[in-house]
Amino acid sequence: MLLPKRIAHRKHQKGRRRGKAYRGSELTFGHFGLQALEAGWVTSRQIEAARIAITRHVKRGGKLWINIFPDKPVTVKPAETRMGKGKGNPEYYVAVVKPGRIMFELEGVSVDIARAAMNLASHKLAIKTKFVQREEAQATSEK
Amino acid sequence: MNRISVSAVLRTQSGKGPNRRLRVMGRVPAVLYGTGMEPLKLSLDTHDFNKMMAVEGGNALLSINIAGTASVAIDDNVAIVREVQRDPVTRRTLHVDLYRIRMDVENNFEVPIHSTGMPVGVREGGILETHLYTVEVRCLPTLLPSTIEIDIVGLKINNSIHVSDLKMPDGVKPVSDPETVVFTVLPPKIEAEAVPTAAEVEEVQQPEVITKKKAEEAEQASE
Repeated sequence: MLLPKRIAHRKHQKGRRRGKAYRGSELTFGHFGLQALEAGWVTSRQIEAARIAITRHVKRGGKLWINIFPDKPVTVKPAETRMGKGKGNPEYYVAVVKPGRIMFELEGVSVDIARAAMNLASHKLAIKTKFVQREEAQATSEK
Repeated sequence: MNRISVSAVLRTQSGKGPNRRLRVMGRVPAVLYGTGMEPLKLSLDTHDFNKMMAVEGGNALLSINIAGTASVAIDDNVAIVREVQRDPVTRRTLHVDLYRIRMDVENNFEVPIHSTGMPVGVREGGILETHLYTVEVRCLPTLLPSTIEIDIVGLKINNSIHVSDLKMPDGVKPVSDPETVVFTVLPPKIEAEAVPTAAEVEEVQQPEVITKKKAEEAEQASE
């Protein structure tokens, strides 16, 4: 599971996710990608589940890049606790994702396998996503 | 390379509001600039521009015909698309940068690399990785190739093709570092999936807090 090794602050403020991801919204490494269509928090468990789903589907072929990293701690108060008495304990880490962000990239497999793998991965995430591919790859697959 | 004629209209207004209104009307704001000229604010037909980009690619030479500009004395408005701004989600074209070039002066251009054939290494189970999709070249605009073709059939596992291996047409020189890798065939992955035990799952190490460590170090130093 992806986790930060060292952190500056144990607890973060919640923050707001406004606007679109103008950075990281283009395919950088691979031919195919999974793009976020809405803003949200993607937990380290979800990223790991999506990674396993993709690698199992493409089997030995293909190379995967994970472009997001869960660096934001989320705190949770214990069950049946009254409000107040300070902020809860850090429970898990999330990656903050905005619409347009390419979260996973894949190369070295056919478009059908890539689409199916990304579809499996999208079911592990709590946000709407879409499968994207490079324009030249799109032109080749349409021929 | 053939020149593609693109009709444009001068725009007088700039800024968020007027440009949004332009986009609603099916036009995309653009700017034409280059050496020895004042930048011109233009607008292009969005549908025609997108169609041109899909058919001709990003490195086509464009003849910009500016409507109603007898006073603008640019007899040879040849330009290339330098940048296209798109919406990250909808991919709608938001703005176009057109760079005016002189036909008798060498310029730097980005040319897409097209591979042909399936490498031997991929047949043996390797994974073809593309590191570079375009290569920067310097040449006269008249000599600009639309693509640079390379045959990668002979590429074996753990072998690479570098920029120096690309065959450039006469009069075209690569600007990118010759040692830059273009294609590699990676060996097949043999990944034994480790199944974490319940104890391992529970024992997820908490990240180290930097400030705490620094405070301790400061204490030790003072002692």
